[in-house]
Amino acid sequence: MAVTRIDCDIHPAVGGTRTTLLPYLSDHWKEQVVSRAIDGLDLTSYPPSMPLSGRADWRPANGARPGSDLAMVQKGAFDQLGASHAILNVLYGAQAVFDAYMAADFCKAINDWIAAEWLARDSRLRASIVVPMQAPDLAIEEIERRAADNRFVSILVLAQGETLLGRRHFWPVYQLAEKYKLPLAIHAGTQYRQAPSSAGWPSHRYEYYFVEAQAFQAQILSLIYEGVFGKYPDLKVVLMESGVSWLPAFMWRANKTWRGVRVEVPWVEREPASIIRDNFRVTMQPFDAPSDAKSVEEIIDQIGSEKMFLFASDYPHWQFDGDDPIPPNLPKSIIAKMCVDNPLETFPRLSLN
Amino acid sequence: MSEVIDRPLRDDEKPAATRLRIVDCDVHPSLRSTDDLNEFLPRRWQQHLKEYGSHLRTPYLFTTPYPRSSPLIARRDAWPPTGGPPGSDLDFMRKQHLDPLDVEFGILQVLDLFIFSQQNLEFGAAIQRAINDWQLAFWTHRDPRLKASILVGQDGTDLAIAEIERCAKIGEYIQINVSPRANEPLGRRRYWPIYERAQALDLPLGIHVGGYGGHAPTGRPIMSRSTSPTRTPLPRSLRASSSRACRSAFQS
Repeated sequence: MAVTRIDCDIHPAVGGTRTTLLPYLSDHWKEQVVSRAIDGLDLTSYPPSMPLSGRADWRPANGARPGSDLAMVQKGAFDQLGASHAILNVLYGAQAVFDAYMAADFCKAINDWIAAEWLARDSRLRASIVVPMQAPDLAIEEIERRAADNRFVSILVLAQGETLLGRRHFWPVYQLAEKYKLPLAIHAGTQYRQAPSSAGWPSHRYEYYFVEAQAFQAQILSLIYEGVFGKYPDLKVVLMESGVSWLPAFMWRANKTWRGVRVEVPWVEREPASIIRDNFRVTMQPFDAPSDAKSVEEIIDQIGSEKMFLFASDYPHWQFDGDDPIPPNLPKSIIAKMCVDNPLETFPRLSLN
Repeated sequence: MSEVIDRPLRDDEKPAATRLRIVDCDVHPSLRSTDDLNEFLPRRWQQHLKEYGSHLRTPYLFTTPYPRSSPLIARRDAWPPTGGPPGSDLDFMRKQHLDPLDVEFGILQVLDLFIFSQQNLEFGAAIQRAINDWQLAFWTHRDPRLKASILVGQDGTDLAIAEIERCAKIGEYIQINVSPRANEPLGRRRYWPIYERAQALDLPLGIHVGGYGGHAPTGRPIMSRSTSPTRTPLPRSLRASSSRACRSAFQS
């Protein structure tokens, strides 16, 4: 491990509730998942066989879900893509269960599984806490349960849940996030409670994947306009697998409308773009930039903060070919910051030892 | 299996003078696996099914958002000894259901793959067509007591009409099945061309509980469990009913 490079977004895969998670479920849910055959909670957002969900060379030969095998993940994320540390973000359906009791136990099982079978086996790994945001009180219980374990470095939620993330019933979660220095990691994905596009239900997978940017934009505005950062100024929010290059236009428009009608939200005392630069971070796969260096430089310049960018490969999702997970044409100064300084600043619990 | 079903007639019991005729209007055949559809599905859609699977307005790929109280909502004794899911083995269906209950006719209602709720309409149409062919080849042609339904997704209205016309030419189907939860309520005028064809062909409309309409099943708010008492499975005015067409099909 020559160079420090912190990969802020990789995905281990849960095989199933009756297999992977079974030993970690409470007795009640152990019995329930077996007798009722409750399984297959893979998110509609990421069909395991869909090309985006796993690059061909990162798929286990036996047909298992990409990201399900620790040795393969180590080989891919560390040996091949050159990370020195990596943050595990589990995308499984526990966050989308309607039944809050079931959701809470499944989330707890996922976190226990990650601690026992991933974090304990490779000291380079860190993880986000999977929480049942369906029931903020139970989410808080789960965060408290993990708070003493610094290998958990953030709180993971899906970009599209039951309500917008700025709503006040979530604030106790943010209070705890700030207290324990756990950034809120909002990852692409949906509970499918409403249409994923604000204009209706798309027919196709990639149409859905594309319009997730709308959801991220809505969440940014919600968190700012509801006043979350007035109350919790040290809360950091990480946009994961959101895409990056849509940010400049969004920030301009957010500023313009705020200037015009901020009488509606007098508690938002600064321009939204300024709050975004201070409190939001973004992972760099996918980046979605034009292919020439000048355009990339302009986008970085327009976003206006080198602190916002976090290195991520999004392993095993198929965002790029080859062995270089860093988007082409990024200025050198950005690369150095996004691989080490920015992740360490964003995830204060992350120590390199 | 219950004692009543298995018990043979005793010597002192005589068959009734008139036979109680049974038409079971809701029998669920299942695919053994989606591979059963391969012979009816163009290669392009076979690959789509394998890679992308269903695209439904629900959070999960391989289960419902309200995990059922029993696996596949089936009676525990309904799992065939041959190993497939409940409803996938015709011989077992005969032995367990059609023969002992003396079912004269059984109307097939296919729920596999939630096929009339597929968001990708072209994919939905391809598997609806495959399922409609599969009902004949795997079921009704092997047991004339069973009757097939034309499954269509009403949001791809033009595709649905084409499929209804195709199946009507075959002439072996006894109803048209649509989703109880489409983009809009069933009475909206955009769906009327389907009803026009149904009336012209004298085929009733079957609306089986299920499907994903993109709204909370309660209307509002979202319930936590499938057993919540507020659940209204179907608009009352739109229940499936048998018609002259059905009866004539049974009598032929």
